[in-house]
Amino acid sequence: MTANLKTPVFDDTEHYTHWLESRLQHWRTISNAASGTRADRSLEQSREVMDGYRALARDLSVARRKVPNSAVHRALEALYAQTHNALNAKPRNPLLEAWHWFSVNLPASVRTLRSEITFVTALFIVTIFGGYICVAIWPDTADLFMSPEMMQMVQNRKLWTDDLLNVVPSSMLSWQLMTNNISVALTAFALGLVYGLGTLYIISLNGIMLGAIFAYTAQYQMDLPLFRFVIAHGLVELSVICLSGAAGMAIGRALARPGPEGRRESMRQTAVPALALAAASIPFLIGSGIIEGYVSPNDNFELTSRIIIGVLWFAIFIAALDGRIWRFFVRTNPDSDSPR
Amino acid sequence: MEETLTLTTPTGVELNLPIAGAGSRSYGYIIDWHIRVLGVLIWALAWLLVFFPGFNIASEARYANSGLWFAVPASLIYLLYHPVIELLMQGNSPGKKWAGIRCIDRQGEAPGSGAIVLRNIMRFIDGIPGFYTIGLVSVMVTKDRVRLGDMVAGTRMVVAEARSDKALDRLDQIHQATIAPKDAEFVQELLDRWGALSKARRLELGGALLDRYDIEPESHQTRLKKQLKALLQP
Repeated sequence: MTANLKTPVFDDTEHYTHWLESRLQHWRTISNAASGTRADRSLEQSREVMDGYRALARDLSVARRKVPNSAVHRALEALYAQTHNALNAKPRNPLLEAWHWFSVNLPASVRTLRSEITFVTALFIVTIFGGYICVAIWPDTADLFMSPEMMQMVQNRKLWTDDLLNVVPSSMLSWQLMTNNISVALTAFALGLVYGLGTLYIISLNGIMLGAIFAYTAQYQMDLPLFRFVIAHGLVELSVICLSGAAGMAIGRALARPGPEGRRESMRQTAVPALALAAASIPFLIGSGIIEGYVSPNDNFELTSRIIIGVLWFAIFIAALDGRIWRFFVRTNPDSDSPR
Repeated sequence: MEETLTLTTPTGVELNLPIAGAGSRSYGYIIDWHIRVLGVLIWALAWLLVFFPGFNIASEARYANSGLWFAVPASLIYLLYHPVIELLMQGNSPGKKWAGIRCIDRQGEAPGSGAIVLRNIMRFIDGIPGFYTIGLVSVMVTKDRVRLGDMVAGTRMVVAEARSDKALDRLDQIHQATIAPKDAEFVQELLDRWGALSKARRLELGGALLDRYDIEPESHQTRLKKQLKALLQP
């Protein structure tokens, strides 16, 4: 029994004291070397931590068996955890991690959720047409989707977006729109927890309403002014809502059909790309809110410039989701030490 | 009974980390919440000084967007406190430090930036319908005491381990004491819990220990404590 020869046996106090005496200085050395940050540690101290870790594991194992719940056991548990952290702490570079997240993780999340994104976008488009056709064929159904005040304004050849800047300044309007859009996107995402049904409802409702409003305004030749208002910010804003909805649908799918790994693990695996999409959406909603507050209600912007702004903003959005925008930045910066 | 999170290390010896429960997590959160509110109040004070000199609320605001100048930074301070602080402190925050807990990933290491961002986004869902109800219920019913954000990000909250240098100091004291190591450890624990024990219990336990070394125990508590401390001297 070779192992027994190496294992201290605490038959009496003398053995225990001797073991403690022989190891205490060694533990102290490891403790000093493992304290502080990685950058503060000298090469010699790093070696002490590495070599000491294995010996410490053996001492802890002995303490757990021979003197459980003692001061030695507690001290060694603390020292082992500290040494483990010191050895395994990863070097941190938040900028590099952020770059990696945007250029690698985000596009990977988009690819993972491609089927949900396609489904939700298709659903949104179909419901827009559904709402449009419904009101175009049966104009009376418009009151299901629009308030009487809104309908009255359209009948008077006015839009609720007219003179918006006379009521609220652009900055306040942007802030209100941003918070509203973010809450709609987060709701579309969060309602995915109800097995995806909540997301289906929100996306369908928004699609039908949008189609219905356009159909109603078309009856009074106000659809072009409405399009003129929406085009600069709407492409990205509606895409982001679809994206959040897709993220919510993915969560709902993971809950409804978890697969062999179980509901919890399935949800964890799906939630990572889903939340990445939801998180990436927020800066674009902020950008769209700014456009909606400063450009959309401002009559100085012609339709052409609005279309250019809308399409450019949408192109940036797609390039960011695809990761191209970040990779392009690194290619044009040869001094960058970011990973390729 | 203390719940522990067991991690397998490369040496094969398991690392046991005590899991932080709903109590210590809530304690840490409440401290952080107060810091957030304090930040907002400081901003509010600065805003009042700039826009309403002399705190004359009735006066007309100097700028049309004065309300926005309060609302936007205040919201940012309140909403971005956790993500920003946790990114800077590798998953920790002043509240967590105060409550003696820390955030780790599945390998027992400090979580990465992605995990920190994910667990913070999930605060919106954990907070539904208010007072962190979903998060709190989740912490109470799950095996590893995790909220939804932790499940998604693969993080765990554990009790921060005691500082090893302090624990080794105590070992030194045990080793250098003239009495047997197990008795020295007993004296240390007795002195640690002195304030929580009744007078009768202090006299009983202290007296029994001193009897072993043929020392007449004092009947006065303060003097008895001094006698016990003397046992730990080299």
